[in-house]
Amino acid sequence: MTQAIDFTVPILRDRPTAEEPLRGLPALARVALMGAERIRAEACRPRVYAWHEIVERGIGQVVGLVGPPGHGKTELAMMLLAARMHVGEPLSVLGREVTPAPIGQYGLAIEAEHGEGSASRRYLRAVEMVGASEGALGRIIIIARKNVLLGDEVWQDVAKLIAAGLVSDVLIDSLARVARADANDEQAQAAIFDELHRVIESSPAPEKPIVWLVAHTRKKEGEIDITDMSGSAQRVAQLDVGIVVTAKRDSSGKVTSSTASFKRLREGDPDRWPDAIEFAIRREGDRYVCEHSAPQSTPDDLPLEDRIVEILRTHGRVTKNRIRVLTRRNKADIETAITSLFAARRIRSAEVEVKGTTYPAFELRHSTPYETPYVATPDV
Amino acid sequence: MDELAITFLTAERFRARPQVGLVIHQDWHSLARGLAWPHVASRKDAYGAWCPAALEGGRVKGGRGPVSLLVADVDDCHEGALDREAEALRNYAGVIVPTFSATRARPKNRIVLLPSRALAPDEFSIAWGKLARTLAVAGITVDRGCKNINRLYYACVTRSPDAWLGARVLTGEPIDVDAMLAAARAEMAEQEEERRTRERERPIASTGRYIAAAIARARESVATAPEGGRHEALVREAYSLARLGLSASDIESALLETFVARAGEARRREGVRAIRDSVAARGTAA
Repeated sequence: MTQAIDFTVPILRDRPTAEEPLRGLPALARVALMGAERIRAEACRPRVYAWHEIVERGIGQVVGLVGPPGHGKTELAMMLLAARMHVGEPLSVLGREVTPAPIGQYGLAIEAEHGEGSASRRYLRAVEMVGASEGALGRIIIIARKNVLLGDEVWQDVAKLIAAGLVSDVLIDSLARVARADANDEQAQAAIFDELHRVIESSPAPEKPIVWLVAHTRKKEGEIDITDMSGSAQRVAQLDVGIVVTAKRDSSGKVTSSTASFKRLREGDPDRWPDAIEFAIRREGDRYVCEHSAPQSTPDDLPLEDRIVEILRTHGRVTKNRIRVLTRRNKADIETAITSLFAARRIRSAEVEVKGTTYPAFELRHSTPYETPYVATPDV
Repeated sequence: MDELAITFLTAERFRARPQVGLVIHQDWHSLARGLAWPHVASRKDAYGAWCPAALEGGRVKGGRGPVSLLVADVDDCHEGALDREAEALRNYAGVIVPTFSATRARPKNRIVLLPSRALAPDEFSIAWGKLARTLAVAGITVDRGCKNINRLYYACVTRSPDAWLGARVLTGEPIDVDAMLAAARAEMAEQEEERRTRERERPIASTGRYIAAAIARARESVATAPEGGRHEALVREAYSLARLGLSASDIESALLETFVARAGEARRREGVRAIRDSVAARGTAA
């Protein structure tokens, strides 16, 4: 039977109810994660890293490299960008794997502290130090101007490039140069990060760009911490990852080595918190090398998902039983890790033949991030 | 309501100019029978017309008066519409009458509903709007022309007994007018709130929070500049805002009143000139 009309009830727009709290709230419904099932599914999704266990990939993290001037922040940032732009197997920076950005995307470096010549020389050196391919240089767009400001015409073009899905990494050197808001004004600082997040979110690429921010610390004596980043507390609060870089100098004032201390990690696991890493850049013959104190991460240090990926990368198609033997983990752990890897579309089903018998197995999908180009459709 | 007051126009009065009707008083049941009882004629105006309001002096043109019935014509409909409407409106008192051009395939009709009391002219527009919106939600689209308080409706006429589709009599209760008006006002209040929210958000949304923060800082700088430094502060801030792509008129809207409030009305022209010069200087520098 048709529902009877009632003229005494107001026709209000859809309103949230106890049963359906997101009813009539389309903007919130688009972004809200709700329901035990969805929350569990998200929690099970493996974390994927751009810089192993330090910087996550694809979620638009803002990484602060913080320290006094001339202590090695820029050098480290450039090495990370060079490794991200490398075309091929992942490289290592300070002993930790850096996953190359998807082919078809670029790294934008706003080098407001350097001229074009100086910036070009330093990027060339960074590419050399991390062992990146020649292709890495072809993927870096350097904007070496002292007058690029967040919000100005150049920045608006940068935003268009990001909105076209063509940028995987943005390096801003330095924050003080590019965003000249009042450092002590909380609102002005919040507005800077609003603009950065707006631009990050505008990217239609499956992986949101990583922003590497080089920022100075206030002048002070003694040990430097992330909270010494110049500017209001807003700057520190908005960082997903905070790395403090400080240098040791010899009696003449020359930097002999720098130390990267990991002061802030989003979801940092206390048991796996990275130790501070000392690194030094030296010239060997006609090339530069970066030496560091960090042990190379061994397979056993890696999360199980990453270990399985390494095994598949090395052995090709592998059965579940063989994975158990190689990882020395129990069946339940292997099942969970394999489920996660399928969810992340990192592996797929395959078959292997052993002594004439076919067994179910797994292999890497060809669409690992650095193997398949992301094809953007520019609309600028 | 014991007796309902409506305006009736005989065929002669309907054709005459100016149209002047007779205000008549009838109880609901008699009136409903009259409205739903078909006359057979080849012209739809053969038996005159009626208006649900008791028009002052019976004058139709510009006429107003208390309204005894809520009426809506349904032209956009399909076969079976009469029964569907009658079912949806079963809780109310009223009649649903096929109009002169109704066919089985397209049973155009008139819904006449009895309110619990006569509506004042000002209340009528609110109540009729509510009636139309609620019917629309139920999938019944009504002719918006019926919102006029002095709208005339032809008397019930059919071309032939065979063409008559039969009126539907609704035997429920009169519409609670006060509850209906309260519901309508709640809807209007929500629409007004949404309109205000949209207006409040518009300027910020168009410039972005970063630029909004830059404007706020620039205003603050101009407002706090000491005497002797106001012109310089205005020039500096205008130049700075121009770098973010704001036009001279945008910057004038943002800073001029702040400057005039501090420096005095006599310096308004100086402020306008300073802003334009700064924007032009920025254009040259870019």
